[in-house]
Amino acid sequence: MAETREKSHKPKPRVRPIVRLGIFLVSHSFLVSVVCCTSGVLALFLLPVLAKNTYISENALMPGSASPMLSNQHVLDGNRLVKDLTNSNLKSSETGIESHKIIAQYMLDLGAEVSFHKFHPQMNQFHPLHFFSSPDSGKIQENYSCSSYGINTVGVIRAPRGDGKEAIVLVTPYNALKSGFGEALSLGIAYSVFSLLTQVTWLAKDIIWLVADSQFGEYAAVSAWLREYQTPKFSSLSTLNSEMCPDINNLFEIKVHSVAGSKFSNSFRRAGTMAAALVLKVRDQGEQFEDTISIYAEASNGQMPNLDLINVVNYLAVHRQGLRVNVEKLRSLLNSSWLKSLGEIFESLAKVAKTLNPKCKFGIPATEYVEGTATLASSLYYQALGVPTGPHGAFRDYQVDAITLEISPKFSLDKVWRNDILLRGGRLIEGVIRSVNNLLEKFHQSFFLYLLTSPSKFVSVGVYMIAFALLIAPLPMVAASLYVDANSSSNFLKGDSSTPSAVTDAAEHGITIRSWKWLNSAKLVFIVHLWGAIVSLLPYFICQIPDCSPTTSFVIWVLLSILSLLILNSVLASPLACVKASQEKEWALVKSVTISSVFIGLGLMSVINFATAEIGALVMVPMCLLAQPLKLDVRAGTLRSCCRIICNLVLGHIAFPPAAFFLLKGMLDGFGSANVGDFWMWVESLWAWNSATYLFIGMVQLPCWVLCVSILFHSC
Amino acid sequence: MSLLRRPLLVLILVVTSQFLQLWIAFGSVNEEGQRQEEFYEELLLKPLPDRKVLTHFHFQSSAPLTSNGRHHHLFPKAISQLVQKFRVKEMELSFTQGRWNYESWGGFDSIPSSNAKPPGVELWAVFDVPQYLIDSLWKNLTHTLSGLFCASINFLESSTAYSAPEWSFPPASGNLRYGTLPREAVCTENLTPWLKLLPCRDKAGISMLLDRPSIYRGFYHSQRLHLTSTESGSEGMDPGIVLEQTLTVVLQPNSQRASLARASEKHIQPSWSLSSIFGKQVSGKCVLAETSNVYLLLDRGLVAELKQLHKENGKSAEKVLTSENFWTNPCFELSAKPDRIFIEESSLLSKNSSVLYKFEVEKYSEFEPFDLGLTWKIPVVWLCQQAPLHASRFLMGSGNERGAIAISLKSTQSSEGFMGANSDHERCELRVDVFQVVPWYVKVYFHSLQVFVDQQPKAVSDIIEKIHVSPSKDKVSPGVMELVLKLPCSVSSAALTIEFDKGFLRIDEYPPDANQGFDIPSAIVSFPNYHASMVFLGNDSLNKSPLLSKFKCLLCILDHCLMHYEGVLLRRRDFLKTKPPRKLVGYFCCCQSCQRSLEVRVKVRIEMYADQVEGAGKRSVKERLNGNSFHNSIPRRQTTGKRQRQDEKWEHDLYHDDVPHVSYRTTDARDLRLKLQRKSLQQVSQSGRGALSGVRDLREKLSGTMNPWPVNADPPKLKSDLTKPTRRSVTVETSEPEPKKAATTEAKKKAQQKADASVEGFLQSLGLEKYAITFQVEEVDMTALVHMTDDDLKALGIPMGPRKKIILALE
Repeated sequence: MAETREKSHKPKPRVRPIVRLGIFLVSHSFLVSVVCCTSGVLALFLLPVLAKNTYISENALMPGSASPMLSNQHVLDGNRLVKDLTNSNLKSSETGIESHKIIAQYMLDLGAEVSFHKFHPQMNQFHPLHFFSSPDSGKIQENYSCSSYGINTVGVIRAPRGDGKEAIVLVTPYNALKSGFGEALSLGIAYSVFSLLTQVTWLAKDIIWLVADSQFGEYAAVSAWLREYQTPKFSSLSTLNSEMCPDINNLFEIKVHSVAGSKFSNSFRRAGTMAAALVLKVRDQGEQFEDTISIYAEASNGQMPNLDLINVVNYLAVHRQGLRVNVEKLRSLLNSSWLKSLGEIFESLAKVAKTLNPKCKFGIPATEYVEGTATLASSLYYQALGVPTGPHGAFRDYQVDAITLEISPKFSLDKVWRNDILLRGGRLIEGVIRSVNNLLEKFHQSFFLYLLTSPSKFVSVGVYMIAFALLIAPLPMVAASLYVDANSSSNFLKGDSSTPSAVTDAAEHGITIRSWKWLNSAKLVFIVHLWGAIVSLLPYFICQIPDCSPTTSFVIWVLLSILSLLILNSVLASPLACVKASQEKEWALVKSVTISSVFIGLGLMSVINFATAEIGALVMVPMCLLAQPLKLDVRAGTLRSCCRIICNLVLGHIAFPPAAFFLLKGMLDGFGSANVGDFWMWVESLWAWNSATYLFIGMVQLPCWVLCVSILFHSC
Repeated sequence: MSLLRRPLLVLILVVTSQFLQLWIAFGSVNEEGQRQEEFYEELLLKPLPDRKVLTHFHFQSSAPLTSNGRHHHLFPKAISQLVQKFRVKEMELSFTQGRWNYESWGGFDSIPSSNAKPPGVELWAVFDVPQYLIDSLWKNLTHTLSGLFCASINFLESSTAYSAPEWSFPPASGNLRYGTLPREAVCTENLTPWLKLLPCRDKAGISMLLDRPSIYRGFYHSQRLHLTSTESGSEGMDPGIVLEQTLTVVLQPNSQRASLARASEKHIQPSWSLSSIFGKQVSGKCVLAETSNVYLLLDRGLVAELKQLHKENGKSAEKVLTSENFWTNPCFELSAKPDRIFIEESSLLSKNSSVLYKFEVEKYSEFEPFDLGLTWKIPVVWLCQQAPLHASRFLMGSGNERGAIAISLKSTQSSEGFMGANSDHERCELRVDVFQVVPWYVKVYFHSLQVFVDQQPKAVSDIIEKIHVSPSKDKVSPGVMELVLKLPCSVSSAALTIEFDKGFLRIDEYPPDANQGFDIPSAIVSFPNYHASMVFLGNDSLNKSPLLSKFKCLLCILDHCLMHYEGVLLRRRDFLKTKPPRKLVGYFCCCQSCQRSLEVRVKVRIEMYADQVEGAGKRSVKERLNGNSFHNSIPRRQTTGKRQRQDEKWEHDLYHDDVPHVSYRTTDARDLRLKLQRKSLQQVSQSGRGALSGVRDLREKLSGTMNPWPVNADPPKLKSDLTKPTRRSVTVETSEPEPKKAATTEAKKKAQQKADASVEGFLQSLGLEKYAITFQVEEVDMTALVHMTDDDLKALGIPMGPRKKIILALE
């Protein structure tokens, strides 16, 4: 035994290949980071090329296999409702109750169960601890006035032989006070489908038609209804209050001379688990060249509905109803010449590849590439923002797959055209409902994590993760190499001319110092992150201040943030100053710890909201990697250091969240309208929607920026 | 010659027919003192407010328990064997598709209350055996029933699938087992065996209407089988088995779509007739039935509305009510003249009374089939009577692994009438029983039970009078919660919530379609203080109808209960069942959006339990025979032949590998019958002499072969086994080691000598014969017993002492 130990001690200890590889990568961290970052960015731009065609993954859906049953009779019914609604608008526009009554009466005549749902618009408030928590039933607010009511009209069709365990929801936002013609038309489409569904025998799931009162916003109405549906309050004072409002009670005095008289009640109607939800809107003015249908799918925190739902809509709209399907895209990117030239490069590359190997065909035309990139960019942007793009977002909070369909017709106010759009829209909705109705299981076959590059093309998580992984891969290596660097340099300084025994002594001593040094910079990083947490909590207190304009709130926020940073700095330590002159490489350790904390932050965020992490990584990774004290660079005075200085200064400005916001806003809307208060508004909307992006900015990006700036101005 | 021969033939015919009649007369006289098998068929039709028609078929056959041994004339043999073998005291099996709509179809009369069932299969049974045997009997019963009805009832065998309610279930007793299969698809496969239990199948009588396509096109159909066996010695009832088969279908008559367009005709109820809703007509009654009637029921709301319409037309309301003119009134028209009209005795609870028209099918024949039609002339709108509270159940919360089950009760407007009748407002209390079973993977926190009355949270002890909870055991048994709530009568809404966690399921415990979710069985909400009854004025002839006797349950021992069935579906995502791994869907789903979702599916059912009242009317065989026209007998003969074969098949199923019945099985039933047929002539004369001993099989009489009942030599063994243990149980406890040893050596020898010796004898030698039934139930014979280990015996539920004894003896 002793011999073997001796033997193993004597020759150079054999290192396992993976460790050797690690050491190799760490020692060549600069090269690795350059390669990885460029390839990461390149991979991001390659995504539109790599996108695959969508396909219906769930066999049970069978879209379009049945011929549509929606006939002209139903369209006429729908038209009747549209006419009545537009007329009633002219008559009594001061209250929306008339039109609600009309809708309820129409539903009752079909034999559906009808109920009204009264709700108060719930102010979205910042609750620091409510991120990621499931939606609760909300606060009980006592002093509601009667005027601030919204009324949702809900019609339910029970499936004739179904067991009532599942339901499909159809939502049409409708503002009774000032409804445009588009809203009335969307009601007409929904009504024609609804009247068909009361007669069909194939229904297996119940159908809920929610006419959401959008006078306080579409989302508020839908989410109020969903809250009541999923987490009802059994003890509430607000409902008692509501009984006292005469206006509302008028509503319930609907004449029950209908055949299905018993079907109306003012109690809340439920119909089982929601399998899917469709929000239907019709845009008032259509300026397109053909009938278009836009799909909005992004819900809060970048959650997406199952891809199958989008596929079904896309398939039916394109192949059955001849509508053009549109997904949101960043218009400013469409005309950019650099993107076009990039697309041409890819196209020519693909041609070259094809000549070499006829089998490989990954290239797409340059125009298609530009469109795909614009769509992908908007897909990334809306997912990263974490704010739902429509009322469907409320459903996603309850794990219901939902999308918003916005129909924008090409002509307007033509009788024939109106019937045509009613028929085609109705048939589309009918087809989608019929497909979902076929489902035995809930949506699970297809993807939940994807980016769309066009309505019929997507990039799945397995592909888009590569770009992100390449981008953040150099972070741990650079951190490790910096750490090793800092330690070895201090070692070198101390134990240069000593005997071997002294070397070990000094090494031991060095180890203790090193660990202490490491802790020092870790403390700094921790303090800055703590400050980040405080900064992101501050708005909660600031928004309590009454009568505060966005600009003043923003100023208060900035001032308080600076103040808190100074206080923290003075109370806990003076970390920004060099403690000991001997530690020249202090900044390297700080940078190393910063990089590792950024790596952890980005890794966590990629799990919560990938798009935010991707965009954050695009900005933060170069900034972290390039950060170096300006003094050193100025001292060096080479071309390389000059470049670095410029890069650092540019990145240092861009990475500051408000600056980035204004830059982005200026790029999209023009710089003229920029206002300091806008940022506050934007932040307000982020926390109102419980967006994790807000936390990311406050607790990862801002501290990282502060640390990088502190490194830049490091005095050594 | 031919001329000569013909009169001779006629003469012979005349003589034999005389003889036959004489003999029948004998038979009928002899039966006077004794109960005989009876069969009733009835159909109730009721127009519903939402343009639909409720059709309720009711078939009842009853048989004395043991007077004829194993043989029955009319009563399905499979059922009687089932009762005898599994000691079933009461049993109900229902197959249901669709939901009963309590709001528009009513929730307060006896039809919804006893026939509104949860979707899928529901089975409960009460056994007449000691506690420790019930589970094994239940398991065997489920297997037998699944074979009988072509359904997966055998899945109720697993102890996680059934529960034992203590007292909240109406036929309350500790011997009850209750299980449901919410997912079971109900189809015509289940209806066919159900129909085969009827003496006439669907070949004659009212059951001819049962056209499969129209039944399964209906909005709701529930096929139910209710079985009650009464032991001799129980109070006031004759010993026997009563089998009730009901089929409740809600159908929508075909209305012309064109007429919908015109506003004036929009509100007129669709007119219907039997042939339009079923596509068939009734051509005469089933000859084996005592009575065969069709009823048309107009419920209280409708009658009140009709009266109102009459008043508006200027006619006096009293005039309407007289039975002569009610069927020719201006509101609607009946295509057939009712034989009788009954008007409900106006009860204390409500001023209005319902009207019942009775049609006797007997009078109709193939040439003049019975086809009842109802044509509405003016639009009528009415409401069905509602249960005092409208119950709904749903799951709260979403997304995460936690949630809550909520049962919400809302007062219906109609209940105010009932409340008013009670008048004592201070002490007036509304009793509500709630029975809820939750599968084991739903971990219910019973301490988190919250009660809200009129939107105010209340202390649980104020509202809940009685509570019984048996928590679930992982992978062993479901959780059961039984509650008795006392709500103030003025309550407008009440709610119960209980929180739960989702249990952890291993990957192999997920069903293959895990994304479909998991069903939580229906809850049962009942109102025991409410009587859903109708008492009809009329003479005694009504008593003959078992269907109508159901309406009189106010007089019965047990109060009626309105039950709400609600089904809830719970869902969770299965992350482990993935598509091709390249998609990475599973992993990221759980990370990004916590998609383990929990969702609710709600359905509501009301159930009311009516007690049985024996059909009092008896008609002798002769009467029945004389009342029949000739042409009816031809199809009947065919059907009876079929049924006999079916019986034998069932018998094989039932007694498969059953040791105590080996002796019985060796002489095949068919052989026995053949032998008997050969001997028939001698037997006739014998039976002529000893007619007192046996009742004649009506079918046999009709088919011409005159077989008397074989005198059943072997008494039912199960019964004797059951009576024994009480006597000998003491000896088991006190037996000492020395005699045991002696006994064991003896037994050992015995066991070695003849391996085929009966288990019973073996146990008897050990003084353990009270466990014989346990072995019998598990179908353990001596060869199997030799191979049984200690654990096996433990699984049988045999206590430690006897177990050791048996093992020692086997060694």
